[in-house]
Amino acid sequence: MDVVINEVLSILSSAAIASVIALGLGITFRLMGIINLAHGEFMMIGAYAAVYAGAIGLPWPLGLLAGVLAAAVVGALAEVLIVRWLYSSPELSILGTYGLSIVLIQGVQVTLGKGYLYSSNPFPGAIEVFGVAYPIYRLVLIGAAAVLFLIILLLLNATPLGTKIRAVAADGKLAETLGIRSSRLNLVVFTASAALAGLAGVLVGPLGNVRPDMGADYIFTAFVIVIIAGNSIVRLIPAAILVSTVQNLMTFWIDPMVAKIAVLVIALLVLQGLRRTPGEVTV
Amino acid sequence: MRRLHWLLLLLPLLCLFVSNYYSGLVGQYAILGATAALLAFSWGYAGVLHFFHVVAFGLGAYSVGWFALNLGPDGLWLGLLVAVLLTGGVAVLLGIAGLGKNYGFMTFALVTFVVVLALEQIAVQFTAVTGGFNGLSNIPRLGFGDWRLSGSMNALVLATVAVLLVIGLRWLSTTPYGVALRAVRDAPRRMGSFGVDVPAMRISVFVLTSAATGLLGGLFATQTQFVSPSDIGLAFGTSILVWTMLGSKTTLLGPFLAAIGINFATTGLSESLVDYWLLIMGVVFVVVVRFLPEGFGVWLVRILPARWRRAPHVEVRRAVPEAPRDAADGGAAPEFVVEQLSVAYGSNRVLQDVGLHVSPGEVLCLIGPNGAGKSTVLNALSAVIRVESGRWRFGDRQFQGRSPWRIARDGLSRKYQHPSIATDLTVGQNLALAVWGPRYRFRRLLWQRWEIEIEPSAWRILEAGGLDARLDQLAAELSHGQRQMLELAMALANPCDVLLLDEPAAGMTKVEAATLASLITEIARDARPAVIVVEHDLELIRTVADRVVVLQNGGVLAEGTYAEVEADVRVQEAYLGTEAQHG
Amino acid sequence: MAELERATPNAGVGLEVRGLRAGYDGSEVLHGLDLTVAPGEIVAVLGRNGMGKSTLVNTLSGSIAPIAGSIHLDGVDVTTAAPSARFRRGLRTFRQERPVFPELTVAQNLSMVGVKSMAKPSSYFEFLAKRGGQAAGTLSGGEQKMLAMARMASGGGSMWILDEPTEGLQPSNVERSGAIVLEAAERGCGVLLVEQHLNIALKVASRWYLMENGLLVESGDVGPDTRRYIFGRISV
Repeated sequence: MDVVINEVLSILSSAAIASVIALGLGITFRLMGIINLAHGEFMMIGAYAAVYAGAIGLPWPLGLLAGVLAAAVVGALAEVLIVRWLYSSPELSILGTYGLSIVLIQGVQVTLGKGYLYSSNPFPGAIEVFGVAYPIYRLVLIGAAAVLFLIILLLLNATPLGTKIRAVAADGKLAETLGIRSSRLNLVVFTASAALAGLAGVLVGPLGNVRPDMGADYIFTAFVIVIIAGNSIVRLIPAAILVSTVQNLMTFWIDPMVAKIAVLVIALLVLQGLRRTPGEVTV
Repeated sequence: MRRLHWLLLLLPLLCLFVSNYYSGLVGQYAILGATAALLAFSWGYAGVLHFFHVVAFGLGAYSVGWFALNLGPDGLWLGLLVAVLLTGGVAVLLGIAGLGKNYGFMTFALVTFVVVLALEQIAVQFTAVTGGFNGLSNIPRLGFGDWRLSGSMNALVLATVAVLLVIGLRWLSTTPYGVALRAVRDAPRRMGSFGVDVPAMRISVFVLTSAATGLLGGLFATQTQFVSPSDIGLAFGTSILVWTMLGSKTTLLGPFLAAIGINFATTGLSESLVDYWLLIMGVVFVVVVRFLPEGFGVWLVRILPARWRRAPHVEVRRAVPEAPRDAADGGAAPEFVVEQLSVAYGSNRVLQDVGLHVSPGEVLCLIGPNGAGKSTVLNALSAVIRVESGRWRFGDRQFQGRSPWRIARDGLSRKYQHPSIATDLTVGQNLALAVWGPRYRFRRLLWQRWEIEIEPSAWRILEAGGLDARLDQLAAELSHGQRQMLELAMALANPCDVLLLDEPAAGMTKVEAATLASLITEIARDARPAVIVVEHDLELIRTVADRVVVLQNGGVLAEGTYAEVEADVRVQEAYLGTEAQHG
Repeated sequence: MAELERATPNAGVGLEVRGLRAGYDGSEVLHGLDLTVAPGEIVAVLGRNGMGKSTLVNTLSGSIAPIAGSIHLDGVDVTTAAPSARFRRGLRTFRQERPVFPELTVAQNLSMVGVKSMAKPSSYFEFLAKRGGQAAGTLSGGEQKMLAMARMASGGGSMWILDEPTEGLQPSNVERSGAIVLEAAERGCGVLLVEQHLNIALKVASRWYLMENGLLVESGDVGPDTRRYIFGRISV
């Protein structure tokens, strides 16, 4: 029984991390039609900022803030300098963010070095959950993910700003002629997505190491989750739980490589099996 | 120009005259150039953007390496075969999963990107087969038993294969198959409704280019005699994308020459700048995407004389009319019958149990107030939207539950309200694709000559629109009215049993609409399809309708001749509104 | 061919377009045209399809940038202003195709221009009253046009640009749209009505321009013979 509870908690905390990363990706995908291949690198920026903030003696909450801000600034710059010029072509936006990811990884590598950095755990220790001792930090992650999803969904669906953002997502030109400054809203959304990535980067810091290409460790899972969830932000949650379950169990019982392939196959199967509702356009 | 590309064969000959080192580079770079050309064919010509090219290349290199090192040097031939089959096979699976249902190309790009992420890590972790970080070294050159080609000769063979491949791609791009790919890229929905199996077209080009890339990867390994995870990874994939974009993805020679040129220009740089190399590549890549997405190749094409890039002339003939298909053979004449058609958008019911029947040669006009569901009927019948329930058939040919292109192949033609013909093709090419779409598949399209026969009714429309004299003109140069006419001619180019027209007079003047009305009447009389017209223009309806069906709130309100319907009080209330009763 | 009128009414007020040239991807569609719309005036732009009418609308709304020429709104140069900036200066555009956000509800579509209650919009088109929570994309094409028209009517503005607002509408609703336009003009709003159907356009407009191949080739005041005259010009 303890093993089961332990495993469930592990899956939930993996899903929490993965879903927060996927949330940032999903926002730009769903709202701007942009597949941001530099999302993992925004994470990396956030993680580095938090580590350096810790190194100069700032407390963890300020480190968290530094990570979020650093990623947001880089994201905003990227939007203004590169991404906003590519909105008209989704294809170019994929390629542009892809180039950006290489620049960010290599840029950090050249300036800060390839070495691994470590960030300390702000909530060390464990508490008992259903009779199982479990690290507090991982429980914090689960809570943080839940809160973030709630905030984003409320913001999008229950506020005038959210309605405007969805309007721009659906038809930027029409929104413009109705007085909505779409370029400004796009900047807001892209920056928010980068900030979420930075936040995720800070959060995963204590779980592993911080290095220029750390994004690759997490981004695979996040992309698969976005593929499975399709055009929906709410569906990111079940998708994250599904993928984390498969990945955790298979990595533990079989092999990490097999787990990767299994997750990939699931994504393809989900794409295949997507049921179309009547009335939906098929072509 | 048609012949000029044979000059490329001089490139392999270079290997005979330069040092071993440089001939090796010629061989390698020619292979990389051909890889970029393959990516351009899939991405630029067919619109299938993907990251699988680098996986295909790496899989090819690894299979040649593994077989040659584990089965003896001659195993490399088996390795080359496996390279093609394995990459082709994986591409088939990926293609069916990601392209089979018309997903947006974004999803497919993302799926293949994820595949690259996974495979790069697998190449590192699966040490038993891949040798991990160290890779596989001492891969033999091409040859048999103890007889092996020298480095220069190996390079000569590789460069020849690469050049022939590019020439083959150029030929492929001018065949009806290649032209159909471009049309599918620009107007997938339209090509589907002309009977083209759009997913199959996309999958075919993805599989074809992937398998060829696998072969190139395998050959590449015989030159470098070494394969490592970097041959399957994102960094290498980036380079291929950069070459393809810089050379212009809408050309084939551009990416080929760009890859060779850039590689020669930067030979040695990547070693001396090893720490900064990827950073530089990344910056160059971003700058190209941001400022030069079209690449340099298109500039070259623009300065070439126009006659060098003229589209092939299409020989369009008028088919000999068949014996009129009279309904006079014993009352058993087939009819187009629609039964209990229901459609809902979410909880909003748009059509409820609509039933229609149209005889060959009859023109049925669907009218009704806005929101009655007229366009939905046409969309449902041509399978552009899914229906909740309902059956429709011509004679004993059932249509429901089939995909748009199958329905088109079975004789149901449709003209959309807004023309969206492929504008970078000529009038003749558009017609040819409409004729071939329902009939031919991949292989027939490859060898088909540019000659078509169109139905007399389609020819009549071309004449009316003045298009018979403009067959070699690009569709982009036509006026709105001419495009409408071309679109209608395309819908009628093949014999059809059922013809659906969605607001054919939209955007036409009174005079154009009057011409159209007499054409519709003529077509129904001569070619005898069952015609359903959705239209607002009451003048046109009065002229062409044999029968009028009035829809309201998703159901049939009234049915009869124009005069009967016009006199119906319920119709006046529902459709014309009170003001119009005396107007 | 009649001389083009070059009147400059109420300098600095309303919409003034001078020497406007515009197009897509380097190919010029509008070859330099002048037009004015004074406050409270309804002006029709007539002409066959494919003559550049939609390009004119998109250029005036700011969706495409002009190649040359100037656009002034109440004396302020808005030639290069973003569509949203023109909106804030009182310009309202009715787009011919896909005029609403399909995935937002009817009420949310109206809220884009600050309309909070369904009372006013449904006073123009009754069917809207019960549809507030429905996704606009599930409305029929004609109903979407009426929703967009109700949004125009409820959203204020001092200069309206309408691109084929009645295409595909049944006669009774065409009348109602015409009434909305007249009402706007009565409260001082200038209206540029781009139409290919002469009946409704000439019923409400006081002045007309005829567009041919990217040029405004003729103009005049609407009179009893205008309909027949323009019909003759268009069908040639």
